[in-house]
Amino acid sequence: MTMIQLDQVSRHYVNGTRRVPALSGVSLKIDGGEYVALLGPSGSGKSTLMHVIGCLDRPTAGVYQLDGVDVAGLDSGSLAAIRNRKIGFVFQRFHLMSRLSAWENVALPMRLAGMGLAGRKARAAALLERMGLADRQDHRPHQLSGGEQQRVAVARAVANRPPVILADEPTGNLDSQSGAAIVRLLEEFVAEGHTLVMVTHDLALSRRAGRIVRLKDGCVVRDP
Amino acid sequence: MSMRELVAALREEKGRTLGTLLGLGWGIFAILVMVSFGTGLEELLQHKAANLGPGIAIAFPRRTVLPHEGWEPGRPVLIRREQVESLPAQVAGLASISPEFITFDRLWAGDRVVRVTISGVAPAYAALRTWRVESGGRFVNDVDAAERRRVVVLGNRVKDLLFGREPAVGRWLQLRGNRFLVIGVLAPKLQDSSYSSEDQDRVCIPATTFEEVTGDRFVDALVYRAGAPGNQAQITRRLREALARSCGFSPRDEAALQVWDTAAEARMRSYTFLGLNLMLGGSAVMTLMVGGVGVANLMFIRVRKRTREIGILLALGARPRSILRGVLGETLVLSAAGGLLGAGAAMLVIVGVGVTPLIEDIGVPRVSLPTAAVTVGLLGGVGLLAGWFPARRAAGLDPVQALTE
Repeated sequence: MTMIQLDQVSRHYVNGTRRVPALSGVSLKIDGGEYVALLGPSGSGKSTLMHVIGCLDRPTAGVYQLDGVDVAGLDSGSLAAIRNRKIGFVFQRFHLMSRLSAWENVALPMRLAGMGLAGRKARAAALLERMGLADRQDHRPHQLSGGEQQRVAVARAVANRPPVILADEPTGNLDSQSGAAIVRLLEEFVAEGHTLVMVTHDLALSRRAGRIVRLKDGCVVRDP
Repeated sequence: MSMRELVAALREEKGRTLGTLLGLGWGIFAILVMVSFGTGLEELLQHKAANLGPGIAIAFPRRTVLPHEGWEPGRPVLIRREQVESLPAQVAGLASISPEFITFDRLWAGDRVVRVTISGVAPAYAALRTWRVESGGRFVNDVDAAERRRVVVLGNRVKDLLFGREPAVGRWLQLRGNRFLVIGVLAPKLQDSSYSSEDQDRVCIPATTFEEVTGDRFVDALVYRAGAPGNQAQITRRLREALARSCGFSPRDEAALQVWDTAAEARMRSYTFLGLNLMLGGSAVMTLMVGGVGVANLMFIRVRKRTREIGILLALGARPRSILRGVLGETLVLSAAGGLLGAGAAMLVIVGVGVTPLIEDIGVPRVSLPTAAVTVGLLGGVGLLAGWFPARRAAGLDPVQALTE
């Protein structure tokens, strides 16, 4: 079953009077439950592609369908709902809310989805326990190590059980040991049926994925 | 964003938040204090004026200045008590009227003597001129008038001069060789305007008695009031016409009958105070606006500092509209806090002044319900306006750019 389908998707930025292409006619099809690594040098457009797939950015041309829905026609409120329910983001810089505790960070997507306090507290606690952070629930991000912060972020990404997890260089700010732990956690969710798209330029890491898509200058150059 | 998060966030901006709250609070303080003091002063003056007589007019017969039916100008206008008593039948809408004879004479109580204003009046005078008599006494009544009784009602200061702290009702006085029975004493009152003398320095006797004791036949004043507050000017015109007919002066001769209309004066005063309150309130509203600019500024800074957080929220699925609402809500909470600060300080001043002796001169400052409602409305409006533009900026942020902050 196709989860993510891009047909000739382009994204240009306007810099002054110059049109800077970030994506040029990318076509890509990812099935539900796939584990895909997006590989490419910086400036290759992999982050832009990630943002388009995550509905944080809109293509300037082409068609993008997520779970069978063409997102081009959706208003900002509907896009927000899609990001909330269908996408889970893991960022290189963790992007946790500094004033919220670990469990509150995990519960944030559930709060935005309108879940009650008791329900989200219980699920956040369960997820943090699974991440090995049972004793860190009330810690603020600055009281956690980088690896721990990223594990909180992974728990937050899967809080609403989204079909798609998008990880943008999730190990980029971590030592190799912590990075490996994060990747193993993400792979657990693939095993449970989530689709994982991971941006990386770590060749060793990308080899663990079931499929490697290489980007260069805004185009897919290799997609075996 | 919850209240706890807001408080935590604002603590990081302690100085700026405090300044903003003070700015807003100062605006609210200024509005409430200025308008409440204006209201208090207006009420005091109204109260004092009502103690001369609520909405009354007083007409004084003078000399003619216009020739009339062969008469040269300069004739005195002479009005008898009986003419005054016949006026209600001639002037429709005249609710109440009393003649007033006025003289200045000595009053004896044993070996004590005072020189006072003596007014000869009808029973209606008590209501017209707010002569409330202390308990145990009474004012001049119809029987006193009909029987020309030698009875007198004392102004409270006259009573104090003649009898000190002793009760006066039932005691006897000497006036022009006649014995007068004291039947009542005026309850003390605030009064800021008068003719001849203040009421505390005046005594009242029946008009009929006055005529008999002094031999005076012509009244010095007519005190009257229209039935409906709005048409006193019309009543005054009809009364002038009726008297012009019976006394023989031109109805166009304004000087022949000089009229002091306190209702018109009260209207004038209320316009003056409305103007004053609008001016004071208006300048205070400007202060509030400046406070609002401070709030908008603080919120812009907050939005800029929180750009990355807003990006995260958007990525996690927050709707732009809820971001907008969040910023607006924060602004309103801030505004409410500033408003409470200002209102609290204002209430301290208002209540504080209300218990000092100052109130005899400036009245009791009071926040009226409309003032409170308008102030709350203004604060809400300023808060919404101050929050709107930062909120729009926050809701319009591009999540991708916001996340790279």
